[in-house]
Amino acid sequence: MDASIAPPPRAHARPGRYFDPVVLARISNLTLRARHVVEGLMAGLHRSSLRGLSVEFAEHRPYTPGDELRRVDWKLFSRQDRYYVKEYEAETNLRAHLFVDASASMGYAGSGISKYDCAATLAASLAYLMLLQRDAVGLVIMGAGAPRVIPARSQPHHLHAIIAELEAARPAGVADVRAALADVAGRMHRRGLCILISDLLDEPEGLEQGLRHLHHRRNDLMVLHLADRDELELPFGKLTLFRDLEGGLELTTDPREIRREYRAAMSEHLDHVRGLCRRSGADYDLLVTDQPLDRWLVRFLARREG
Amino acid sequence: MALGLLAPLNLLAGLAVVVPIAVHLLQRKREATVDFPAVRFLLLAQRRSSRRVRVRRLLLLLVRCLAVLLFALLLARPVLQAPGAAFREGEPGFTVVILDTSLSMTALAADGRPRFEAARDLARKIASPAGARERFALVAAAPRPGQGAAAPRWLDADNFASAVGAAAACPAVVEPARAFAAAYRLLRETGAAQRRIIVISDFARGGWDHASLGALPLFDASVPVRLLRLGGDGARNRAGIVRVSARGESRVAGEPRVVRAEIVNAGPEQVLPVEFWLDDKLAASRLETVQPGTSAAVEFTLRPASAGAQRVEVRLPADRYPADDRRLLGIDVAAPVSVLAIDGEPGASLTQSETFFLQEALRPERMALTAPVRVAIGGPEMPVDRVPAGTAVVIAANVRAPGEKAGKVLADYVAAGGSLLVFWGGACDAEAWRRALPGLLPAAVAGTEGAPPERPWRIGEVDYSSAPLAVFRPPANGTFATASFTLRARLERPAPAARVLARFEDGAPWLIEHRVGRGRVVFCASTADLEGNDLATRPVYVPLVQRLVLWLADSLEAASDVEQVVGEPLEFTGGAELVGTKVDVESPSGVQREVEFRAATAGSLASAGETGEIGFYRWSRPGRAGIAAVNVPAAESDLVPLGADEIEERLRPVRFELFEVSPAGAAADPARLGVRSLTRPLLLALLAVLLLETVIAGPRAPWRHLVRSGRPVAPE
Repeated sequence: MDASIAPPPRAHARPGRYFDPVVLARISNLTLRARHVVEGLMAGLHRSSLRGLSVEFAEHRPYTPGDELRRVDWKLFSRQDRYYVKEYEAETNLRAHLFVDASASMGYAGSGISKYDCAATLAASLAYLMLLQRDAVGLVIMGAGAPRVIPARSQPHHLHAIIAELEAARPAGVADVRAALADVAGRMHRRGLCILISDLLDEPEGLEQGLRHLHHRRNDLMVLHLADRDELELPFGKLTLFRDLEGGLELTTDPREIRREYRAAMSEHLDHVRGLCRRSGADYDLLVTDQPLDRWLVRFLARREG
Repeated sequence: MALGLLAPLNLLAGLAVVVPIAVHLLQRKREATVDFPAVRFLLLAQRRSSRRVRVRRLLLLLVRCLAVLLFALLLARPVLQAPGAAFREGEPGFTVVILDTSLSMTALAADGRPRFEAARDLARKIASPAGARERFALVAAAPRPGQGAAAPRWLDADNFASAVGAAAACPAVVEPARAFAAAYRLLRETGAAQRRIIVISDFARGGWDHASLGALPLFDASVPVRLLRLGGDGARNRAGIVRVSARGESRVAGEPRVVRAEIVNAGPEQVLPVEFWLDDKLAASRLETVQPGTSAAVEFTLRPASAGAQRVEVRLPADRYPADDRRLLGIDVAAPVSVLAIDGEPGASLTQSETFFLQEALRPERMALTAPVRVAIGGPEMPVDRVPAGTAVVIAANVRAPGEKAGKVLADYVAAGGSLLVFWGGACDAEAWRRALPGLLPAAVAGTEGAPPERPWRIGEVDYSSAPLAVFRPPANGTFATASFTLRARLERPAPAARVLARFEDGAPWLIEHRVGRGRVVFCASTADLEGNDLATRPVYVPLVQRLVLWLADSLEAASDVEQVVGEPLEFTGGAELVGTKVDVESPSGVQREVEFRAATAGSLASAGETGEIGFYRWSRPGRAGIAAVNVPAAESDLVPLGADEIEERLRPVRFELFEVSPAGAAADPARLGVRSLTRPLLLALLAVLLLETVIAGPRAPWRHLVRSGRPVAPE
């Protein structure tokens, strides 16, 4: 695994191929998958959206195309005849926590890539992006048992820890989102950005309580609702025994007969979750696993720049 | 209309209804297993939809069962059928088929076949297939002329088919009343519940227009009657000859005869080519204008060159109804009348001869009435060897008396069919006449008597019913009352068979006749010249002499040959002298028969019975021979079919159902007539049910979802 974090190339490339979930599903290595997504995203943006400003010098780093010329240390250039850019300590003032749902329901893979794989890819990509900006990134994996927490760090090698944790985790059990959010909220000493990536199939009340804990501590909240298209549309066509991934529920039914009501119920659920997030001060986005991942990442970056 | 099944056993296919039921019951065991994250939403959806799903499943089961049952019903071929359209299987059923065998059924259909063949096909199919307990009877609506109507009887299907095959259209007019009467009589005998009458006909106006069933015996209103009308192809009789006759002042060879043909034009053409054939040779041909929808008389004048019976035929171009495109007429052409006048007192000059006035009266230029007469003068003695051959009439004018030998010659001549006209005069010897010709004269002559000129005898009574004197019936011109008679024969009592044609005012006979053997003798009690009367100067003299001669020569009547229609009796009349004699008759097909003259009111009559064939019947009897033309009945020439209302009116009180059968339909199953198939509506119903099943069982259309929720659940 290439652990170095190099600036994304400026090559003009067609961005879509980087974010196709089907293509991503073929990449088993999560680091590669994250780089694939982020570099594709950067190529599509044509210029680096990373920039940092600070008043306290931290270190030099080699100039890479795309860096602003005003940040080049011309004095050092005069001495060493090489371009270096000044980095400042205050650029890494963001502390982000990625909450990844690893409950059993996240293991459902209706359209080729499971919701967990999709969530892990997004989390890794976000971590990669944020570490590129010297932001501190932490990870909370919510699965069976107690949530696994990796504190936020801004060192580039922190990405390895995050990715290792994401790869190690397997969707299982029932995630206690409320507890996990409350737990992390209790540990946070500085406000930061909290990104929840989940299918949100748990009871919405727990989610609301957890989000309110974080919101109460003046964290920025983003909820990325992952859903498989099967969950949304119930496309099955014959009498089927449905077994719940997170419990003992079983149901034999003809999906064709209840599809309308199912979709209505799912639609109500989505509306409820969306409203819940809005009330809790969280940005909400629904991402279907068969959609390109860049859609949400672009939205994320735009929001960060804004 | 009642519901029926043509193939009820196919209803067993309805047992397949267990299939959708089994599918409904067993489908719950054919399930896949899916580990799904949102089962709680499935549970919620199922709770919400449980009532609708139950209803839908039940509806689906019902629809599928209905589809199977509809399919089975389709296989059973359900029909709505009118009463009498078909019998229930296994029960006795009796069908009377009235088959129109009239001449109009020989009209050709569009396919070139006679309608009757199509009718026969229909009749056969009525009994095929038939139940084992079904019986059929065939009634010919037009009995064959000359053969009478065969009594119909009940037959099984096979024998009925044979009877239909043996039936044939004949030159006769349909007789609906007789046919229906026979049908009701047959059905009454059965007493069965399932009975019907089926009439197969063209219902041509010519034959059916005069139908009247008002006094129908044994009429039973409960018997369903079905009329199958052929002729829907629009085939019409374009033109036909409905009557042919001949008229003329003479029937003698060489004399003009006018043949008149009456043509009815029902076709579109105005100009018709008409041909006139004489003895199988085309004698004349011309184009005649006959306006469509009208009739016209066409006349041809012919002059038969020779005597004897001759065949006349008028022809039109053949059309769909060939029966009336030719019509026949037999004409009798006679030879000129030969008269032998015996002048008993030939004078020094022509005007002084006894036969002068006779000759003048019989001169050809005076013969405005009938045949020319060739007069030969003989005398004063009667011929002693023989009467010249061909002599039709021998006139004895004031002949003293025939000799013994001559008397025998005369007696033989009369007995053989010759005629004798005697004018009595002063030279006649009554005793000698009595001796020479005993019994030959209608009354024995006792002597001759005279009257003073100032008190002459006058004619007082005339038998105008007699053939030679009929034309003098008042107020016709001419009277005998002005003639004065001063000499006459004094007659004894007339012979019993003698007929006095005219008498004097005192009752004494003037003209008296009787038959002798095959001949005839007329006795005139006065002279033919002015010796004993002045009749020769009266206007009545010439016609009297002419008519007497022609009457005796059997040529009195002007030629007036008329045709005969098939089915009418072929009869021959004659005098009483023919009683016991026979006439040989030969039909057009060569069948010969011999019939005998029997005594009748006016002489004798020989009847050969009804004619059954179209064509020339030849007949002969001693001394005479002739031809009788027998034609088709003209009434059948009108092929225009009666309308339904007209049929209803003619057949009242019979209630019926009328079915049009086109020529192509003649090949169809007549049992299907009046049977309305439910296949099409049931098929549509089945399709609708299947469509409903598809809608119920199929996936919901996305647009419905869009309409319902306003937007898709999942972002695209």
